[in-house]
Amino acid sequence: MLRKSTFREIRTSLARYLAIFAIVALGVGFFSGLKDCKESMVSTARRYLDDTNFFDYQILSSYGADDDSVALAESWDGVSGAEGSIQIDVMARSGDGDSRALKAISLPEGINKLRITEGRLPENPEECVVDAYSITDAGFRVGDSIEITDENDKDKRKQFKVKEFKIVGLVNTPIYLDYQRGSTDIGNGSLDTFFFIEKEAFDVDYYTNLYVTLKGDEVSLTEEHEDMLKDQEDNMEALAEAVTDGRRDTAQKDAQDELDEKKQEYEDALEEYNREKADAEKEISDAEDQIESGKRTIASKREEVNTTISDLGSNKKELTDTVTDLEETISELESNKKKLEKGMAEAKAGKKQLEDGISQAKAGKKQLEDGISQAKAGKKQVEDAIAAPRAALQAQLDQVQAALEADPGNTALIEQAETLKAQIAGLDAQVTAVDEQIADLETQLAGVNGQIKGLETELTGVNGTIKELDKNLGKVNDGLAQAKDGKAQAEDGIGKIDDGLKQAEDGLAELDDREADLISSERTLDEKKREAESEFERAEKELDDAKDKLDEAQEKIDDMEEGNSYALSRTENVGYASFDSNSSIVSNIAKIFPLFFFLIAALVCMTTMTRMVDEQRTQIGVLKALGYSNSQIVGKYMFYSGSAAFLGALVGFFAGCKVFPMVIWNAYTMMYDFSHTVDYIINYKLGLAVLAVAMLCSMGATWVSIAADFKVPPAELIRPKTPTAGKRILLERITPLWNRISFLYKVSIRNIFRDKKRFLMMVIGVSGCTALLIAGIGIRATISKVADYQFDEISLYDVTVMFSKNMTEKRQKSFMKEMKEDNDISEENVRFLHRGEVTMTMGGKTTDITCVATEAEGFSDFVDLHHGNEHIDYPGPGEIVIVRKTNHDYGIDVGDEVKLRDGYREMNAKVVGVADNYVYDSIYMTTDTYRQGFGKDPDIKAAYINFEDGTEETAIRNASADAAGYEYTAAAQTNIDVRENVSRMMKSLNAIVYVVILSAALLAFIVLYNLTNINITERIREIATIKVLGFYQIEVSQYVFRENIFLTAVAAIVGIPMGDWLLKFVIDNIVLSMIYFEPRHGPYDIPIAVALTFVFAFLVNIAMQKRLRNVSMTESLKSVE
Amino acid sequence: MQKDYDRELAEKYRTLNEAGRLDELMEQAEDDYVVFDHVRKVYHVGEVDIEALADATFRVAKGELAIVVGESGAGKTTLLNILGGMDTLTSGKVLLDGREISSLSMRELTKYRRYDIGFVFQFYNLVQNLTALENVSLATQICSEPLDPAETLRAVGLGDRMYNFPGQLSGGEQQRVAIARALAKNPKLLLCDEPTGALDYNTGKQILQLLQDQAHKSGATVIIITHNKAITPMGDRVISVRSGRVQDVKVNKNPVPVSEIEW
Repeated sequence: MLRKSTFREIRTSLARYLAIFAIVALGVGFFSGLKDCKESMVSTARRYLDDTNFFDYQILSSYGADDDSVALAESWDGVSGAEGSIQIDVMARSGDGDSRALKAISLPEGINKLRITEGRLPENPEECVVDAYSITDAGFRVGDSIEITDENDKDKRKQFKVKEFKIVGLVNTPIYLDYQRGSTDIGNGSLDTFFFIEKEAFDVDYYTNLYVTLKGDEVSLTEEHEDMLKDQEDNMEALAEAVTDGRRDTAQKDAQDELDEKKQEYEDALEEYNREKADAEKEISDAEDQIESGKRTIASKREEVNTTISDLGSNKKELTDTVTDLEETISELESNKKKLEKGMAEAKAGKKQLEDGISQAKAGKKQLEDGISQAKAGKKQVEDAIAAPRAALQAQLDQVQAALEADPGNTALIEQAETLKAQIAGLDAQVTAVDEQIADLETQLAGVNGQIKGLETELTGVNGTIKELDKNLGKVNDGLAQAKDGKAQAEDGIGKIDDGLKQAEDGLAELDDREADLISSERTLDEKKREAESEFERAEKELDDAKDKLDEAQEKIDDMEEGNSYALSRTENVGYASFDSNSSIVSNIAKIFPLFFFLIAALVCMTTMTRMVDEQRTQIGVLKALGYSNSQIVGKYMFYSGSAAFLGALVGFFAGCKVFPMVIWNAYTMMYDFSHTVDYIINYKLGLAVLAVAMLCSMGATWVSIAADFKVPPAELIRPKTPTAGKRILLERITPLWNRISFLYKVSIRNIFRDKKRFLMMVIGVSGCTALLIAGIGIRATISKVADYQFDEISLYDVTVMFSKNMTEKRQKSFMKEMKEDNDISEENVRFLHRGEVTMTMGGKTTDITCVATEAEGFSDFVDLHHGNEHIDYPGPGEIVIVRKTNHDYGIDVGDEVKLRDGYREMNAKVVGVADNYVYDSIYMTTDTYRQGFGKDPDIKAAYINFEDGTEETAIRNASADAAGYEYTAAAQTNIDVRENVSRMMKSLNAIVYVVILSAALLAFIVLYNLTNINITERIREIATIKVLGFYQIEVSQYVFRENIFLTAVAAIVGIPMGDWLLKFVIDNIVLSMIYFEPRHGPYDIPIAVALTFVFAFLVNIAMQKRLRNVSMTESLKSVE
Repeated sequence: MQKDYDRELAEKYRTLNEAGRLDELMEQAEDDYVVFDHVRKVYHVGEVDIEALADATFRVAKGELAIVVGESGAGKTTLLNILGGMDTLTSGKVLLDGREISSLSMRELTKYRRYDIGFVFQFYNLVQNLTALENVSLATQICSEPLDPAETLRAVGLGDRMYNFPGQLSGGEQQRVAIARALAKNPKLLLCDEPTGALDYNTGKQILQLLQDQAHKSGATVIIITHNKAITPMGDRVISVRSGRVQDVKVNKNPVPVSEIEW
């Protein structure tokens, strides 16, 4: 029975039941849906990133990378994979004939894989696939061709083997996660689209980018993953440096090798030159020598010949004389010969006589020689007989003589010696007698010998004479023959001399010829020499040039820069970062917003249940009186409230988890092309929690109300609750005012203040909705216009130029000169300044921040420093101005002293202002402050260009392109692009804002409806009464709704600061790395939010009209139900 | 305006009533100030038709205090609702001061309630949030020729309580306020639905006296609906209702002052 009554209760009070259901559903749906959004978005992106194997780090080197770099990266600690990629920006003509800037990328293999959305991948180098997101905007279609046109310079065209690519498919790539296609140094500076081609289609031998994935199982898009990336930063930078060093060494080595080769060539050439030169010189000097010696030879030969001629002449004369002489001699010799022959015959007869005398002499001689030999033999005998006595005598003598010697005066001795000597002489005289006999014989012999010898001498003479005659005769004969020979020889000689003379004369003639030859060849040689000299001069110059060039090249190689290397983590990928920011904005909005929403829903749910129990007071009393137990009665109401809350929470949770991610993702597909569907994440834990809270609110309120009733005895419960006594309100005491108020208004006003509980409920509920609306619209105003605020109010300049070199005054002038040519720009439009990173420290907090140092004067034309409406003067010496984000994030405020560090240099500065700033943060100081603080001149490597307001966008873009073309420009960017990028990113947030606004509107509607419903139910008798009293329908409505409107007004007023606070809270929670949000209302935001609240209130009133009309006068008047 | 009804007329009413000759009875009112002519009211509750009024016919003359009496469920409240312009009828005719009410639109009915009718309810139905005076003013605010609220309150004996809220007043006083509220509109007809139902005996008597005085002294036309037969003697005309029909109409030539009635 009780159950029946419960269901009947639900049926009869369906509006209320549905209201609870709806409000719980909405609250839960909004809460869990919005909370779920980030997870869903992240999950969707994560799946895509994992599927495509998105890189963790990108290694960039000014020297590029090669396969060695890839291998190095692959073997690097912590790296799980590496892949090189070639990316080159080129110009191409689109189907509609426009010139487009495209990026050509080599087809990825394992990292940053493509997802095909249409067609297929290229199968040969002539085919390509294009980015699906931007192809249409870029004016291409599948089937079209992309042609590397002549607009590209020669070098660029050379980088492609293939010049025309057929589009065979469309793809998504994770490296461009969002719509931003990045900037480029070609065309108008922004990239239109990109296409993928096979590596073979490129004609380069290096990679422009090197992508790396890291080991570790951290899930993408989580804090753990980001921490991991941060942890790996140093390691990756080391890798980048290693890659750069490797590439540099290789490049240097290659260059050196090439140069060495060239040098060798040069050396060879030089050597050859020298050799050739020497050869040539030698040849020339040889030739000269030859000519010279030739000349000399000719001269000497001529002399020689002349001498010969004269010699020959004299010789001939001599010879002729000789012939004459010889002829005389011959005749003389002839006569001599005859004389000699006569002498000869006489000599020969003498000779015969002599030879006869000799033979007679010789016989006498013989006889004598025999007598001598007999004598000699007698001698011998004598000698033998005296020998012994003589020897003894001699020895005695010797003794005496020796003693004499010792005593020379000894006469005895002298006598003895004399005697001895006489004995010896007696002996010797025997011998001498023999000798005289012999000598006699010998004298006879000598006479005979003389005779013979005379005869023989005579004979020898005769023989000599004969011989001499013979000899003379021979001599005469010889002389004769000789003379005759001589004559013949001389006559021969004369003939020869005649020949010689002739030869000599011939030789002279030849010498003359040769001399002429020599003179002509000398002339030729001179010419040749001159020629060779000029040629050598030229060659030498060439060689010198080559040498200079080689030296220069060597210098270049030696000075080859260290090279810049970067390790960029995926968080620095624009698309990834923007997704990260966007999803965190969503989650930050989801932080407090839905809670607030949920609280209001819970509050209203509680009010409703409290009211219901109050209304059911009598019935509760009856049931109690009938004997139903407390728990049974409680059960009835608990079931009522619990089931409504349960169903509401259930429906709300699932619908919320589906609808919110869907709607918001749908909006984000404007930015993110990679998935058209979003992952629906059902967070059951959240669901259970929300369900529990929803039911607790609804059932708890019921329980508390009923518990209060249980304390009252049933009898009293059955009786109607004593109506609350009317009370005078404060306003009445101001009689003059009160009296002026029309009576019906008095009623309303008094009604409003009579029931404080209802008043509060209404005000809290409705003001909550107003606050939600204000915050929702405010978020939109704050976020989506952040770029407008920045560039309309603060950054007034239009173009930022970054330079690669310090801009000295000379360079500044050259830059200005170049800029002035095509642009309407003067010096006042351009501000050269210092922009560099410094580290700022205060109270243990440290941050890296961009430091702008420039002259104060005129800078406000470029950057308007202000805080709200208050102008901030450019800081003075030793002072800086910071921006709000720094103030907000690090608590640094005016008056603080901060420490700034630039490299190893440090300075202290005083903060004198906090300037409004939304995009990028920086600090401002003067050049002098910088110089004095850091002790060095700031590098001027940036310039701001400001155009007159209302300058055409194209003019600005052209100027930016011109600036980019300046030789020392590293990059030039227009604020138009920055603004567009930021705006576009922020605009996609509109979706979430609209969802919030719509939800807030719905909530407002439901709250108002519910509260009005309660109001009407409560006052049904009063309404019936006034109806009976004859109030017109409109008057009845006014009677009731006047209060509603009034309450709405009060609530709206209360809601404004609440909304303001909520907005601040939500915005404060959105922390993005480069953007600072300042809670800000658009000019019409608050009026719109308030107006919307009123519109909802009116809508509710209109919806409630019917209910009012249906209030039965008769039924309601009978008795208290 | 004092009205006398002779016994003959009353007798005739009864005779006619008993004889069922209601048509003739209808013609017996001196003037046709209030005319209820063959009124039939059927309520559709789901499939079931409930005939709240089957055939009710009566008349009340101007300045009379009429009492409609009947058991619970006899149809007297329906009768009052129709007469008060709060409900429509299924068939028949209702006239007040010569104006047909039964044919009026909702808006005209509202107007009718606004200008012609004053109601007094069993549960007073005062707006709790308004003082006595304001409750009266709530009604006079919308009338064309209202009486002065303060005067009216003084007339009902609440001259010194007019700035009190209902919660500060006793039941009788609240009902007086309700009566004052009805009177201040200067209505053509004062309809009272069980005005003493929620009151104690003495207070009830005072209220009834007040109502009788309104008719007899101030000349208002008053119709009181009650189940309490004991109070019928105070009325100039007593209309008994049973099962949706007017069973009997009695006319008292000399109504008894309330103070003399006991129940």
